[in-house]
Amino acid sequence: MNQMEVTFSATLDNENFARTTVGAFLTQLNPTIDEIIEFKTIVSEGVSNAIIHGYNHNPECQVMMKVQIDGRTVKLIIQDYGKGIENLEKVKTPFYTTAKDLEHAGMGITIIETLADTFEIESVVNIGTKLIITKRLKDNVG
Amino acid sequence: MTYEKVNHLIIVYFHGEIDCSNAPIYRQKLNDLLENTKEDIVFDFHETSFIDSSGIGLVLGRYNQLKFEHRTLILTGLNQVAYRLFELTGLFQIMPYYESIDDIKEGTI
Repeated sequence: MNQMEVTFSATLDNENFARTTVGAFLTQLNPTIDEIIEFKTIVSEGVSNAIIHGYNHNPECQVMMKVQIDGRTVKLIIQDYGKGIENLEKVKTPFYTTAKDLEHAGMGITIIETLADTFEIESVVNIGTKLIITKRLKDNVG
Repeated sequence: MTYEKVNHLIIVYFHGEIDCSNAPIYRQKLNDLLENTKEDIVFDFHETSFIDSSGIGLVLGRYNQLKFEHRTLILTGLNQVAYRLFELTGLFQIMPYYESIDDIKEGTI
């Protein structure tokens, strides 16, 4: 098992940092370019949800991200200590968004579900939200 | 972001990454462009290294704007992962997608 953990301020300026960091950590597994893009997309959707919906863009708040590598299985945890989600079923509905005027497509959670092998959301109102994602990389040939 | 007029189309080239941090900037630039033109529009993502759901929102928003003026939005050049996600969203049911920017430029479509 190999793991890393990083905590950063809840600003969208850190989105690129978050997904690049995960991408860099995973290079030791020799992933395909598509696998790296898939992980980066999952990170981007999860982190932007934490910043926008969990914390309402408050940069004094912190997003925690942890990546664990076990063989070729990657576990990614994205956690915020923000306002939490009242209705977990609703957020899993494609095109559901609370911010249509800002052109949020409401596809973030659906995208994570599509790209991940397993995906769980734990959320408590006013305590925070934790996304737990696992995804196995294809076996390395050659 | 750069653009050029080719035949009866305006081709918009996106460079680098599209995410929540810069989608509002793209939205503003594209709104200015759409307001000052009458042509159909092509979004070319060949030079776009990363695009997430904020890119989907950006495309859907411009599609709705163009549709209102009876103009067409054409997409090209998405990487494989982004293509899957756009497909999942149903975008290709409402707007055309072409693999090759050359076909679009040569007017064979």
